[in-house]
Amino acid sequence: MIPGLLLSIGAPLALGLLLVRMAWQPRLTLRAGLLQLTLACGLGIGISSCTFFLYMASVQPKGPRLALVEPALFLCVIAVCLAFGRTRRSLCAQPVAGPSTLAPFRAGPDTIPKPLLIGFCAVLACAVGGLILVSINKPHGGGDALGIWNMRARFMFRGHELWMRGFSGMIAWSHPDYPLLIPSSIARLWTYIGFDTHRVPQVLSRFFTFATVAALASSLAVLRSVRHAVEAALFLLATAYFVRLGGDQYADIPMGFFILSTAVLLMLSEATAAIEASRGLLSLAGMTAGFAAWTKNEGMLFVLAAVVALTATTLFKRGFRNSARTLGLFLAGLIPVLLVILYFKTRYAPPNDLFGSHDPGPFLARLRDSHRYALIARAFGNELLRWGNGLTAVFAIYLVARGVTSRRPLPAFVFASFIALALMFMGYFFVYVLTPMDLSWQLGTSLERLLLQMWPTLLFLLFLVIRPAEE
Amino acid sequence: MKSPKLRIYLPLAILVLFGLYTNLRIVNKEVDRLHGPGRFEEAVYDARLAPLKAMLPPDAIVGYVTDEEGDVRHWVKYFYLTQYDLCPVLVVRGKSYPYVIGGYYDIDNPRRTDAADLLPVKDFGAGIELYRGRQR
Repeated sequence: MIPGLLLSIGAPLALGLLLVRMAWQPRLTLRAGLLQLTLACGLGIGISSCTFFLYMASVQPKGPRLALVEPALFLCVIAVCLAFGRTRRSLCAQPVAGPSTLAPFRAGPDTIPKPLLIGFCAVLACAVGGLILVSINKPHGGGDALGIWNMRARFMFRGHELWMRGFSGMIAWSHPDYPLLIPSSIARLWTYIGFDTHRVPQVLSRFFTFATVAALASSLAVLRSVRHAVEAALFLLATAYFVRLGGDQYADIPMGFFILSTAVLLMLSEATAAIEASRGLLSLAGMTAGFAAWTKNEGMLFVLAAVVALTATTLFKRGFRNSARTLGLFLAGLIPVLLVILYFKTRYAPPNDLFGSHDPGPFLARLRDSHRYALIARAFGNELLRWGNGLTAVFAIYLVARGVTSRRPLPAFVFASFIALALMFMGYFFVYVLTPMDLSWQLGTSLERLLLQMWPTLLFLLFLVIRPAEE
Repeated sequence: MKSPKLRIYLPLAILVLFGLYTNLRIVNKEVDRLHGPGRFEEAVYDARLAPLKAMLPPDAIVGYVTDEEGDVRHWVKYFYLTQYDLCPVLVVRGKSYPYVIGGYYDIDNPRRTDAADLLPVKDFGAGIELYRGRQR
């Protein structure tokens, strides 16, 4: 079991690390190392979930064993990358300390007051304890984990030649059209270790929960200051729903991780002085956006919002040529993942329950119904006001006390990310307008989760513009 | 907030206390649940379903009936658990299948009206029964 586990984690992690190191070679510090490792893990999980799905779709069950095929494939890709002199040169390149659009935003001395550090450690310890206890009480996860993600993983692992039964219309209640990053990652690990233990989805969910905190903190530590990093991480850990959903193994946490990773990579690409590096980071941002869409259907909305926001912002701030170049690099990372999603959607997934109907009549009637708009607006307003059981009020006090930085101009990708989130917010609003399900039920069961997907990224963006304590 | 120190530290103190409060609430609730009557119920259910799984061929499609008298979330959870444990067997609500599983919330209630016209095959305990369905 242990060699299988090491192989299953080691091979994609090595590939993820290579991709991140090829794109970005910062001065080696703890914060940069943590950020690279977190991003590499996310990329490794995303890539390996795609390869596992393609393995199931092509060679399984009569083909060669996964433990032979996949590591060989990853090692080949790594060898091919390293065979190019350019890759080796970029891996060994000295960190560039040139001009950076985010340099003016680096804030103050990198020290944390001891009481703040102690407070952070205490909250982190409570969050870890809470998450583990939720996992013990719900070993198979909450409703969605049990009925959708882990169950699909079981069909993929146990099904052998019947694995496609997981997409059967007879179990339409389990949303068989939902994408497969989580089920595929779980089934892949089960295949390596040889049995389907509930520990695997638990560990995967814990990883994504704390990787989100780590990505938020380490990226802010790199781009602004350690103090910003700790304070932002505190806000995320103080969001009880975030910790609870992590224990419940919901896919909204990984989805939030990939949205955050996209924003972080975009910001790093703007912050770095080396043009070569910014190219690689833009492509990696495209790839993580794609993984958001491979995690949940809502990720498609994020991809669309990100492409529109990137195009609009770069076109406005940098002109047509630069905009086309940025979009091209972003799409270079995004398209391979989109092709896997397209293959899944056209070959395996049944029609979506929200948009599967071909009759435009009820669709238009819902669009014209003003009561729906009022109900949704009220639900959005209530949710924002009581976000995190009072966290909105804590954040308001914090924001009033601290204020927003006066340093200008703000980087283009800060705008792009804010616009992307705003477009997603509007998109969710209209999904609720158009849903054929009972509106009150759908709002009550999903709105908080949808907002939670955006919360880590919103914190990241806000902490990029919040004034340092020293100012 | 005129004092700069107060301006910096007061919001942080509130944030730390808030973070501790919300997370300790989760810990407290989960510790209560850990010592409550429903602890390890999923593990017990998994164990009860193991012999049922062994009886069914992997390509089977079985029906599922329930008393539905309890909390909706409760029977949905056990319906999900049944499908999760029996994968790749498909579990479908209704009784027009060669085999039908009864998943009952109210274990002590013998009045299982949904299963009135079904032929009992085996009682696995914990409210789980296997029947022969209408479609033979």
